[in-house]
Amino acid sequence: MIRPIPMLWLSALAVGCNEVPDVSDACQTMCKDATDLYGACLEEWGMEWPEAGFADESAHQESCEVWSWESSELFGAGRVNALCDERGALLHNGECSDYTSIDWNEEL
Amino acid sequence: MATPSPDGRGLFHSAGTREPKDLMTAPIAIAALSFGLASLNGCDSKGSDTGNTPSLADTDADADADADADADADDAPTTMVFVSTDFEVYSLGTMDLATETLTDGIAALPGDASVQSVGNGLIYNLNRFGFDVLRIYEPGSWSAPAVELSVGDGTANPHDVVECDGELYMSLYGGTVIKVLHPQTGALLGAVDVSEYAEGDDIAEISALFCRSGTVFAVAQQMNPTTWLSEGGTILKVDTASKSVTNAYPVSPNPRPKNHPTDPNQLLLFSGHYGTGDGAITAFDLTTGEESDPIAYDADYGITFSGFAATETHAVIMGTNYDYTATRVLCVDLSTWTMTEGFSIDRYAGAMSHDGQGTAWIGIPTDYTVEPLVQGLQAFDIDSCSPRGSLIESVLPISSMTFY
Repeated sequence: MIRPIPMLWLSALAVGCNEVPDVSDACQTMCKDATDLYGACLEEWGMEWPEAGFADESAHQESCEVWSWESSELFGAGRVNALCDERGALLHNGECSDYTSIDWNEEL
Repeated sequence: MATPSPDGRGLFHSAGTREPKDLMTAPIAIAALSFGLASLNGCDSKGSDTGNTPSLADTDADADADADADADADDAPTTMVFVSTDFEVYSLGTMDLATETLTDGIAALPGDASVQSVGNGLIYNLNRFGFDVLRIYEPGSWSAPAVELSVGDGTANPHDVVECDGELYMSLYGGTVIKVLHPQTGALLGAVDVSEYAEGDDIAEISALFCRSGTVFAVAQQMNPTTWLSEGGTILKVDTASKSVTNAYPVSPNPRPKNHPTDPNQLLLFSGHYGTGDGAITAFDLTTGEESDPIAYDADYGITFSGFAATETHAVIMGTNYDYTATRVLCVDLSTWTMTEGFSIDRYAGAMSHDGQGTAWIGIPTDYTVEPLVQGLQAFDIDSCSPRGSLIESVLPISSMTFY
């Protein structure tokens, strides 16, 4: 049986549609470092961004930011921001192995 | 809408965008995370016809290639995984080797598909020209791949994978590099530039890959892009630490290598072009880089040698005549390399693979001259040079096989 959706729910959903997820400064910085490092690695390996599955470096940066806000919603901003700080320190002036050793899919 | 795609690169999702959330965001995010976690759970590398003996990951100290502590023999595989196709639909199936019970149509595959195992317990599904998709399956979990990722734009044409020094090397027949991936997550770890070994363009046509003692050997067919002929191939020795080619050995044209039945330091090279009778079988020494004089010429048999499966004493070689209207399976006494007629099919067939237990499985294509149409698998005993049992029918013709 289909029940009518109360207007209050619809209003709440409409508000939700307009909400832009935030990316913390820590994660934005980490993502910038990740993109810079991975781009340098691809260049070193003789590869272009599309060969790594990204249209360009901005697509990589954006994907990293999507990862950060999704993870923040699922596991909490505090935990993810701390991880962004940790990974940012690793990736800033890091080596390719620093990037490739990260498992972005690990459960936090 | 943010749509993180389950690309399985072991990375965050490139398809995602940071836009206003909608009703779908949370479920998709959870699905994406679930995919990411799934990807954590997780060589006939020479295709289905090269007679690689399957094995599980070898982590012990004994001399065999299996994972148990005894040194007597490799673990025998229990299951065949196969691709069947009418060249429009590609389908994944399995067969229990003990009961020879075939389970067909388990899952649809992207296209131009092959299946391979590399000895680490996972099944790799390469979807080649026009598709460029790698799927990694955990054996038994066929409803969804543990990992699925793009490896190119449709022109990369992944041909082979081999695990070496803990990393997965993937040849791209239409690419300028050999990709290096994480064997479980598929994350890109590096690349080997092979553009220097191209012939007439910047593509070296790297096909088969082998791993020996932590070194990768990559076989470049070096096709001329104008004539689509190979004037000579090259075997590249790749240092896994530096991800660079350290040696390049010229070999016969259009090389199609097979694992040597008894000597891991050698490969057997099938050379020459399909339908022309200019090919031969030679041995290539991986330690010296030297190719032997021809052991056999395909013109002597009126076929182009293609498939190979072997025990320690005998082998079978599959080949198709020059107008692709008939396929022969020849039996070989490896002590003398004398060949005798073993089996024939009155149409083109290209799939044959050794199960590691003395049986070569031959994919029998559809016979369109009789009703009802049938196709399937024929077991062929390598040592006795004789078919075993009757045809095991499949819904579609079988084009690729591997074992675990």
